[in-house]
Amino acid sequence: MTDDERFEQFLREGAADYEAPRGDVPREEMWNAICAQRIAPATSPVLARTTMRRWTWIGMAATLLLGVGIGRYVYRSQPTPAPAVIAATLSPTSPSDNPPATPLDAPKPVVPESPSAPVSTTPSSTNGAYAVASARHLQAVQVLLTSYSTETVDTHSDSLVAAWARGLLTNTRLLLDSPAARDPQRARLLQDLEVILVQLVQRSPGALAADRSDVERTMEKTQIIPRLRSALPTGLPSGTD
Amino acid sequence: MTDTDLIAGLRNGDPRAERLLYDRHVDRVYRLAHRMTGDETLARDFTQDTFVRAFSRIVDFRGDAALATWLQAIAVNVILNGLRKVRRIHSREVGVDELPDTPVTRREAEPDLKHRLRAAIAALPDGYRMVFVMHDVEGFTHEEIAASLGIQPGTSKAQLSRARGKLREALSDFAGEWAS
Repeated sequence: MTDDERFEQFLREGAADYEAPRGDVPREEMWNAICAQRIAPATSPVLARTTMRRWTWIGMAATLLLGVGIGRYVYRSQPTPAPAVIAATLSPTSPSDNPPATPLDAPKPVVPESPSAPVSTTPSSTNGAYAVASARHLQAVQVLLTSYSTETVDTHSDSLVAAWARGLLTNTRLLLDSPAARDPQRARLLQDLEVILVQLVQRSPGALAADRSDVERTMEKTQIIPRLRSALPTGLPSGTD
Repeated sequence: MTDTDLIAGLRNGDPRAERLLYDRHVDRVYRLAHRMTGDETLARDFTQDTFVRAFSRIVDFRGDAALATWLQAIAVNVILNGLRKVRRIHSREVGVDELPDTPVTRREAEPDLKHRLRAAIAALPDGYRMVFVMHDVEGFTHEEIAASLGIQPGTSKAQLSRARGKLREALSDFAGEWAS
């Protein structure tokens, strides 16, 4: 046996247990998570739980609002019959009269009352389908983050938040790998969302106040909630009332 | 169920076909993810992501490779992209100067050869480490590795050779010990 062959044998034997998983593969848990992600990607997996808690109702309400909002958005986006009708019904505060849209990468501390230009969400665009999917996803993330910021925290809600965030994190990553991320502003928003969702997922139940403040610090630093509001198309309910 | 029947079932969204695909391949996907990340949570995430993507992309499967190879290519892509994103996230939180190059591993000198080997593997660049883990640890052939990574089998062999060379260099202090 040559020296190289002995070294290769040493590598195979020495590395046989390199980062090997301990115990059995968690097949059923992963399968359940896969099913949950595919069936209800924008809602908390706690829908499968028998105990209905506050976060579950928030998730269900968010889903209902999303369905209504998307329906209204699609309806409003249908082509209108005649330009004359449009001109006759234009609001005095048409977009051309409003201040320039706030760019997503330079959010102001105070969210302007006039709606900001949405990020590439015209249904007539070739990315219309991805735009709608993005809007739906951003809406769900906004509900999670706004609820996280305002709700009382306990160990159980921490677990639910982590589970909810995990599903949203998967979709965020899928959108980052999709044509939805071709828009630079949307891509930056999704990247910042990914950071925050990872922080939420990695927080253990009953996390220390320091851990919670880390998430809040990141949310504040990235101005994520105002940016989410700006990124959502006009016509969608805020979902935070 | 043959691969042909399985593919037909998957395209029809047959839950039994999806579960069968999962049961046939989850162990291997999970083991690879765990070996590459060293983290159970990440391994689960990447495994789940792999199958979610596979089920959604089965309509794009052209059948020019074995179903297992196609699935493995998705897994490798998910793992490598996931590792890059994890490092990017860590770099924002920790600061670039403090960013470790690899999954957490002890970098100080270890008298034990096996510990040094472990650290040396962890220190390999992701691409080399993937080829090394797939071939020398998990037993994939160069043809399977090449199909997963979108490279030629010859390139897989070359990368494995370079990976082994880097490991040998890292363990040069122990030259000859593996001969005993």
